[in-house]
Amino acid sequence: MKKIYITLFLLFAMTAQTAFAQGAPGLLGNRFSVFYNMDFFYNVGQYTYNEANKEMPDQPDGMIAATVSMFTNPGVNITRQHNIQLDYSITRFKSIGIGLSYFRNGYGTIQTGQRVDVASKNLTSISGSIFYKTFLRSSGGFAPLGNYYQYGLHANQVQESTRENSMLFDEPRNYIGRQYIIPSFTFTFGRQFIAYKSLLMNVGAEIGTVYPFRGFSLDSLENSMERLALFYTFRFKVGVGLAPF
Amino acid sequence: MLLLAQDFNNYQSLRSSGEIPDAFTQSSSAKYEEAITVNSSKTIKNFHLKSNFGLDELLKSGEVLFNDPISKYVSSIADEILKDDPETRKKLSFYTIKAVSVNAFATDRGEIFVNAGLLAHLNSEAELAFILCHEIQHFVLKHNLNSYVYQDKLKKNTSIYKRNRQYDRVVSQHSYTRNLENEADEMGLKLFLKSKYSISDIAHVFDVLGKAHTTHSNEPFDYTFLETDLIKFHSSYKLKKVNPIVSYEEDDDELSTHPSVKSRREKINGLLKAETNDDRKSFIVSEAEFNRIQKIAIYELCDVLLKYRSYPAAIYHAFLVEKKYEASDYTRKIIIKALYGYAQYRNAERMNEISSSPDSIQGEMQHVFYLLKMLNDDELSILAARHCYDGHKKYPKDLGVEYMTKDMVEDVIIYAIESPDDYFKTSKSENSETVDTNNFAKSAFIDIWEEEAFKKMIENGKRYKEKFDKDDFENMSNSEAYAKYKKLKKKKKKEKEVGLRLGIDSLLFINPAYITIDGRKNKGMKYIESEQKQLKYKEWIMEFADKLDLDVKVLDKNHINSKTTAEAYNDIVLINNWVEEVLDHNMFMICSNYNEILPIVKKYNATKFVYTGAFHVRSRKNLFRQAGNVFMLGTPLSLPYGAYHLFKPKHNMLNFTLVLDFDKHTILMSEGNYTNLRNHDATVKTNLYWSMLQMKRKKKK
Repeated sequence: MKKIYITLFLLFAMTAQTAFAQGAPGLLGNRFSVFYNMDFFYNVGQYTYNEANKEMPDQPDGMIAATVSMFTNPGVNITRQHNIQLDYSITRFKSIGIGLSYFRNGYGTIQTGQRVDVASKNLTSISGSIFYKTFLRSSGGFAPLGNYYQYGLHANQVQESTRENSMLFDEPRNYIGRQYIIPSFTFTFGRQFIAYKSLLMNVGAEIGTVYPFRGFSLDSLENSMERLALFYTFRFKVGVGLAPF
Repeated sequence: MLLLAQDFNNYQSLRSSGEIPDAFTQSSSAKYEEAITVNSSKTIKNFHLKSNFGLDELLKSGEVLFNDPISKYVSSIADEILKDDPETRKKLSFYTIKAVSVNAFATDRGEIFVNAGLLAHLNSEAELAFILCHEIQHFVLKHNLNSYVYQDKLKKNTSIYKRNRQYDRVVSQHSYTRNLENEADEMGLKLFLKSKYSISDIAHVFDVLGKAHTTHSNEPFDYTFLETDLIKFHSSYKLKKVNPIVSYEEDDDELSTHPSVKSRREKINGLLKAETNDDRKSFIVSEAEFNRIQKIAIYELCDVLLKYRSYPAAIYHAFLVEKKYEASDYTRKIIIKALYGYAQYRNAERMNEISSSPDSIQGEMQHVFYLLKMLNDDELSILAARHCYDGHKKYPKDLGVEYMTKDMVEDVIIYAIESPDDYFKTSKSENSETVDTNNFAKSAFIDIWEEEAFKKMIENGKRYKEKFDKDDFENMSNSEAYAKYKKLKKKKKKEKEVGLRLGIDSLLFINPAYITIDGRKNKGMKYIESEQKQLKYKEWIMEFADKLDLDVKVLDKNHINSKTTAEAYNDIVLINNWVEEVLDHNMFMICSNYNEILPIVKKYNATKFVYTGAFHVRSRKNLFRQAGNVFMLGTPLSLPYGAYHLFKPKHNMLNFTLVLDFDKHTILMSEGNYTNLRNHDATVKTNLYWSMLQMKRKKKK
């Protein structure tokens, strides 16, 4: 993983080095911008996630009521990925960037039989990314403001874990699962603009895929890789940022 | 003093002098605040807002002069008229406008403007006094305000106007303003009668109004005015009969803001029946002064017409000046500049921008319009080049004429003569005594082609022609043209992406502009915000100048203060005129006021002028699209998109920058960045910074 991060950093540094010679306006001359972004989309078929993290009720009746409510009142669950991104304007209409993301997602399962158990198959992903952004001159964009297209390459370090609640245990039990790295690609269409004074906002929609590409179905979401693929398929983006230097 | 110092042989265009009046130094928003009270209605507030900002725009346009000989003279007549009413006199101030049209007008603030064109048409001081009395009454009776309030009522469809059609509203508005004009005539006459000015002079004022669309004089045009020993015009180029001058005195006034001249004349005549002209005079202040002022006004019109790019009219006015006064270096230079300008536009095939059809011209001036139209491209270029060259020989120290000559002679080679060597060979073998002067295109240079200076210009012309031919797509094969087109396109794209590198260290910023408009519900221009932002914009320029280590000076006509001298104000006006002319021409061309700019360039040590600003409009959103956005809220997938676009306001902004090179008479940088972003300071500043960065950056070695 370290190697991947070092490679990403070197790629960024080399491109930035070339860019320094060309000159770009940036925002008020500040060519670096930092964003906190949240990528989000509705949970699809994962409505049990939050419930799985709760302590099981002491009494069987209460426990049954809780599990039933998972299905009957799922509420609106949003899957989120938190992302810090550093952009550098290389020309008037182009910028490159690196990012670090954190993503956590679970999938609840209910086993019924002699006893009712609730388990959450969780995945935690920390990813490093590089981005290339093109701001649309047709709408008057100039890095880092205006409508843009962004191409992103991500390396996701995924950690699987299981959390199980059972009448047999005094408290939920956690099991560490496998760990693996998976690359993904994204394409974003968005808009960066000034919300107030020099506070930047970023809104957009993103599509993407993981490699190797895999299809998914609601039945197979227990598999963490497929859940990751699903999340990358389509999501919205909202962020705030600054151009400090 | 300036009047006495005026050398008409080398006439210098009118300039302001003395202390700058408060009307120029006080900000428009301050004037607005002064004019309104807490109890002022919305209509009254709107009136003061629009009139203060609108009038200040005119006041600082550079066309308006203060403390100049004409304004001073007009003021002295007002002193005479109002000598028994010092209170009213104190409230009034008089300014000259450098404009050809026959007009004078008053504002609610007590400013009375008199066009130079009006003075050129008048015969006496009494005529001017009658016009001033009329304008003074417009001010005293608050006609501007009343007219606005009435118009506002019509717009709001209140009371009796509610069901009126648009046409009826226009007729109603005009009928109202005609009544105000009649009232100003009547009350103005009363004021006039209190003075000792001659009432018999009033009749000529109405003659002038009836023929206000024509020149101040209609002297028969003499073609020798433009001919030389070697240039004689073919008889077919000379108009046999010109259109007669038609008086518009009896025109129907239903759709006019002013009553017909005939009705005004009759009304005044009716009121004058009981009056006698005993002890009344045509001149009270000074007849000699009037004549000199009129002379200045008539000379000034030639300059104004050049600025308007009305080249044939400028030539005819120069002719009138010579007829009425005397031939001078000034009038000869007007001819040179006018012919040069006309030929440049013809060569650039942009005649539609500058010329009226000769058929639409009335009076003797039609001769000039017709002649210039009839000359073919070669003849016109050669005529202009010959006049320029003769002018250059006569005025060797005049840099403007020198550059025009070089440019024009080179253009003869580039545009007029297909094969210059053959052309000169043929011409050279001919004897000048047998030259067919009717075909002057062949012979116009016969006496000068051996002159070193002329030969050098011809050689330069050949070099340019070669270069242009080489770069001309028409002289290339399809594949060459395509390759060149691709190369140019790529270069342009790269330029846009990484910007220019002009490598300039010293710059003069002219009138930085910032305009913001609210296009929703016809709210219109946000005057006060625009004024504040304009000041900020100026500060940003200086901030970035420091940051980029640029030597920047800002000349801003919109924010002059009590410390600004009349000299500095004149500099701003002259440079502004020059910039406007460069932008109008939008091609390599020497501007008519080139010589006037030279000392200013030296004074500020900057040959690069920057014209920059931001223009922002917040507009109304399309209802159909908004309905689509509401519809999108209905599905979870499209909800974020719909919500964002539903509440996102619609902004349009243009940040523009022009960098003009005085030495090369060209536009070095022309950038207009359109964006749909909001006009946050940071956004506007970034655009400005980018422009200034491009000016500063030096070319890579």
